[in-house]
Amino acid sequence: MSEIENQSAEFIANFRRVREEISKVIVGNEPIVEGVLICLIANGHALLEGVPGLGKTLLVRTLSQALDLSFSRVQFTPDLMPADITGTNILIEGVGGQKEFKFQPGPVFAHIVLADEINRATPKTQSAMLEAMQEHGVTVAGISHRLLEPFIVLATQNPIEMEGTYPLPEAQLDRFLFKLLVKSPTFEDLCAIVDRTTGSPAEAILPVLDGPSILKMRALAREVPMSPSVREFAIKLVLGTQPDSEFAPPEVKQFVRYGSSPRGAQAVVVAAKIRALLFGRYNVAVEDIEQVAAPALRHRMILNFEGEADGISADILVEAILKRGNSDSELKIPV
Amino acid sequence: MGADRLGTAIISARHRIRYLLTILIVSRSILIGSGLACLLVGLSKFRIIGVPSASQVFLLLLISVLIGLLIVFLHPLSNLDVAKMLERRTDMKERFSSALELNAAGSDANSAFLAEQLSDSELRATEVNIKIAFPSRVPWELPVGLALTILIALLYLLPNLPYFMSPGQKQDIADVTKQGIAIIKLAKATQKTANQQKLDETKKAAEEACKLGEAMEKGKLTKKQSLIEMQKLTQKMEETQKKLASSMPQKSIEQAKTEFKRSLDQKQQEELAQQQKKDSEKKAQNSKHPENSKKPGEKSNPEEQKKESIAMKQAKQALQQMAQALADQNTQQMQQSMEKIAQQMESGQMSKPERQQLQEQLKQLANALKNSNMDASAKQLEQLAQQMSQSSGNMDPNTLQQMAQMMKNIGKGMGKGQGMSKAELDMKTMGELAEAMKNGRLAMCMGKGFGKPGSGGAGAGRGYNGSGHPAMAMKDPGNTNPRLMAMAKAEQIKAQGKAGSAKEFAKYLSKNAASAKHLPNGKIAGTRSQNGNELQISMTGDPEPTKSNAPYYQVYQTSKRAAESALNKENIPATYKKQVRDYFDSIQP
Repeated sequence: MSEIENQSAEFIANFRRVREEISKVIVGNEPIVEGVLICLIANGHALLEGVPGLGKTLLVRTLSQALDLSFSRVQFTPDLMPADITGTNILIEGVGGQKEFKFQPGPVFAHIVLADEINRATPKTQSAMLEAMQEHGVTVAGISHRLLEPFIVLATQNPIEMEGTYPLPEAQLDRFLFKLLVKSPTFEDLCAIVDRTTGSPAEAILPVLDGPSILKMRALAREVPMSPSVREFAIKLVLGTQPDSEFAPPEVKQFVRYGSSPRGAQAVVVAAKIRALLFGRYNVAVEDIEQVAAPALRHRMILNFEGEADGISADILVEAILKRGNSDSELKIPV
Repeated sequence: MGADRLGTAIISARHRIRYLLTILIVSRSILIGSGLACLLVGLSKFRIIGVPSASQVFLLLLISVLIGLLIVFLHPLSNLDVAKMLERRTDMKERFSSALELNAAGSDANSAFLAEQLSDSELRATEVNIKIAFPSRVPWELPVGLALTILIALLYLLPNLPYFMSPGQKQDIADVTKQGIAIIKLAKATQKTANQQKLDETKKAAEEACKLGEAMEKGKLTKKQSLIEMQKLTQKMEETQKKLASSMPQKSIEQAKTEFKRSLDQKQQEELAQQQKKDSEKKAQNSKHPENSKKPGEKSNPEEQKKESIAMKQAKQALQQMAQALADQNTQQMQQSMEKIAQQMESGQMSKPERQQLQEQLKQLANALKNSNMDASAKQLEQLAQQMSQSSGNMDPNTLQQMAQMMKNIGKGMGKGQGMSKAELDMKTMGELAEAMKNGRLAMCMGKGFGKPGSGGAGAGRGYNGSGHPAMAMKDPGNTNPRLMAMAKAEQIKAQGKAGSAKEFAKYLSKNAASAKHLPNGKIAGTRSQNGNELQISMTGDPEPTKSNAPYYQVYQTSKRAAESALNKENIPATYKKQVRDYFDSIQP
């Protein structure tokens, strides 16, 4: 067995272990769990959207338990201030009576940060996360402070428009690798949830993966080669979200105001590489791109008024773009 | 080793794809070809287009299949395309195409991941079963195309099977075969003659006729096709004849003979008239003055007069022989005649007026031969006549001998020369062949075959405005009801202009001829030629309107010559001959 094979096998085993630990608590929602783990390995952040009570917060908390990493939770409220997240300098009196300012790190200084109900905070507070998410650092009183690695923000938001919520700005949304839609459990899943939560206490979650292993997995995932034709497919897919592009299907031209930024392409490719490894392949397939396209692009397309009015979902548009991309790349050999 | 496994799999896949592609595209081609053939046959049934021949249909199918094969083999099929198709069929998730592309890119060729990817793709390539990945299926186009092809084949084959043939069709085939045999026989005979006399054009035409005859005999051609081919060949022969005619001298030997004979007759008549006039004058004088009937001292030498008349008679006989020799185109006889005249000249028994008379007649002969293929002899004769005229006063034996020698030389020259030029002979022989072909075609049209009467048709033939089937023979063309002609008169297009149409000829005859017996509607009796009985064609009514392909001025000379030739060959009363000649003179361009 070659070294790469060993590393790949270890990668898959680590991933499975974490997933299995999470599945001790979380019933169903495999794509969400998988998406969150992909974001962790891809050095990205995830936005979980779903109605209250679907286990979004529980998922993140369970993940933090399964990983041997620090965890902090920030409950976003309208009166939350940026300093409440990033931390601030406070005046401290020393032993000798001398006073000095000392930086008090905020909840963002953790490996896993749960930004619960992120759309309840004001845009000013939401923006406090921008630097942390992109640069993995915060600047307070002119001094930059590095965050812990691996660092991941898992934000949750309620899709129902309510009083006192502030939709995330485009710049903020763009910093999330995936936007994962948490759906209501199926009949079987709900039965299992009821059984688990109303009976004896749940099995304890053990940490199965540490920070260095995650960093190693990140490095390995980036090594996965991608053939030019698959890369071309991914690029065309991302360009297809832009209404002015030649690769855009008619639906995108009709309903989209702004398409994905280059971050979208990066997200698609990195996520596809991780997925390829997870499936035991040493190359990225078109199928990997197709599978990660919706969570990576759905929050990067801004619909126009017509799209909003018609209730067009971004997933339908991604599907249309994929259909167009597949027909373009299809070989015209009738055998 | 590993690289070979992926490469081998891709090569095998490519062969398989090409094979399947060939089946598919050729099936589609057969379907399209047979569909088009069906469409053409369908359109021909509605008389929108002509009926396509079996060979045309076969050619259409063949072309469509060839185009299909061309498409298959020109279809680009790169290794990458094959790899993509193979991995899609085997659910290999871009393993093969990535291996090819990444290997070709070469930038990360040394990376551990790439090596692992390549070895993985090689391993997977060994697991691939090409035949399962690309199963052989019969496309729906193939059975449908083949069914249509069989349908087309049956459409063409069934009517040709004797079981499905109507008695009329069987008769047609028999006619064509018989006609073919007759054509072969005729062509071979002509070919033999052409070989003997070295007639190139006739030989070629005979060879073509022989080929056509063989095709007809073997049943390769239908009646319609045979008629068309015969028509084409006849036309070709006629065109060659025209070409030969244009290269020939302006005057034929026959015309020269006619002119010469005419001048001799004229002279004879003039002499006779003069003699009669003299006799009548003498008689009148004798009745008035019987005492002057014989003057004293008047020279009277009946024996001498008799001698001179014998020499002249012989010379005249020789000239008559010369006219006959020209008619027969017998060069030996021409030479003999000239030698006879020379002997008479050399004998010195001719008186001065007789020599003058001979000189005049030789001049007439020279004029007659002028512009024919004996133009050189004509010039020599003219010179001789001139010399005779100049030295008429001094005819010593030497001069006479010299002139006689000159005359003999001219005779020799005539003897050496061909009576009829090669081109003329070529044209004549080919004309006979063309005529026979034309007659054969006409006979076949009438359903007669070669001398055998037709089996009768449903009604009057097409040419007579009847409603009968065009391929069926007429019952009795000679007795077609003239009412049929009258019925369609207004719509019929007649030949126009100075093309020598029947209408024009009839108009001319009504003005000039005493009787109306020679209208084209009348019957013309057939004649017996050297080749046996010639076909007798009964013409009733106006000929079918046709378009003239050659300008009038081009065919005038040929037609006139042909008419002249016919007039000289046949026993036609002189008055009728004159009418024909006058007609041609009147329409001279």
